Amino acid sequence: MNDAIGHVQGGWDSIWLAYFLSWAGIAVFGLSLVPAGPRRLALRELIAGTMLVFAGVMVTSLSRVTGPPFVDGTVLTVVSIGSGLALLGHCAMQFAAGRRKEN
Amino acid sequence: MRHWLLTLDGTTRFLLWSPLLLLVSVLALTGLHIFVAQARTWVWKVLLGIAVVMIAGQAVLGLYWVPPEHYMGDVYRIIYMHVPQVWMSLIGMTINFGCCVLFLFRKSWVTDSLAEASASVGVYFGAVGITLGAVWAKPTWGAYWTWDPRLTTAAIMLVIYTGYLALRRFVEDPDKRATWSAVLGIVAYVDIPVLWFSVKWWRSIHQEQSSPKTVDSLMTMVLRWSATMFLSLFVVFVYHRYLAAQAARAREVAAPELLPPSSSAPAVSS
Repeated sequence: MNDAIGHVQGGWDSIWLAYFLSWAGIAVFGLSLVPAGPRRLALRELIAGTMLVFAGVMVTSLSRVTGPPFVDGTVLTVVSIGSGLALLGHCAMQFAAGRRKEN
Repeated sequence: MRHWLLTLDGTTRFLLWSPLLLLVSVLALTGLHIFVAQARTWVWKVLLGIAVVMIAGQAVLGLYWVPPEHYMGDVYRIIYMHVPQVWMSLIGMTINFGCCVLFLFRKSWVTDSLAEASASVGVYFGAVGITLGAVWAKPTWGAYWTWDPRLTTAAIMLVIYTGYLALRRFVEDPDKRATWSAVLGIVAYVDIPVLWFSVKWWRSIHQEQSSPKTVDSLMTMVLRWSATMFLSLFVVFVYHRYLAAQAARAREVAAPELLPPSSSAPAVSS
């Protein structure tokens, strides 16, 4: 939204979207370069989990900045952060199991 | 009158020069990576480490530290992601062009694989860069997309180089694939100078390239920081794509039915 003399107001939703897309792109493209195997699966969970947690934090942040419609994003935030943390937990368990097997 | 650099305090001066120092380091490491075979295994890891640290730093610098722009407010912060990724795309296409020309003069799987790797990484950065441009255009221009010369030539670039990668998938004979794609790579590059100069040649909605003389020094510093970060990632991505392409070539050429029939076939070199 612009004011009368053309100053752009706000825009944090676009900024977060742009940064999120860049980070997710780097993670996904980088992951495609890792050879298939258990390491890639664990890395995939690590990246997906981190992105979900970040998406949850982003929705919360946007709720504060932009107001509606993101104010109703509480459920989305909880689901996103919850599933992200669950994935990260599973990933950590896999790493630990792999380490035990190596030892 | 005192030079503006002398009016800044030591910390700010250090911050302004640090991206340039990092850029020089990344370029030096990249050179080492390319020319010294033994250095390859650790150099890409160092570059990846630099990129990861710089991503974290860039989030702080780009989203928080650097001040908002006078007219665009905060939304201009997308520049720190949009512009460097488009630059990386152009670098990728330029490397692809160089490899395509080299391949036609001196046939080698190395140049063919590097051409494939640089084009695929260039297409990736181009796609993300153009998408971010659309995200930025909505709040500033009022529309995600217009058929402005810069945007149109960027879209043409993506289509052509996606076609280049598709051609490489469709042709099974490695010799024909390498030659045909080299010719297409040279023809495709015609679009790149047009894309670069389009904002100078035609008055359009997309702004001309800014110069460090016309932009606030802190903004220039953060842009250089982002460019160095993406350059590190670019080298790591191209290197790994190149290794995958070389492995695929080695498998193909090792298959007896796909061995080039004549002496004009490209020689395998490492």
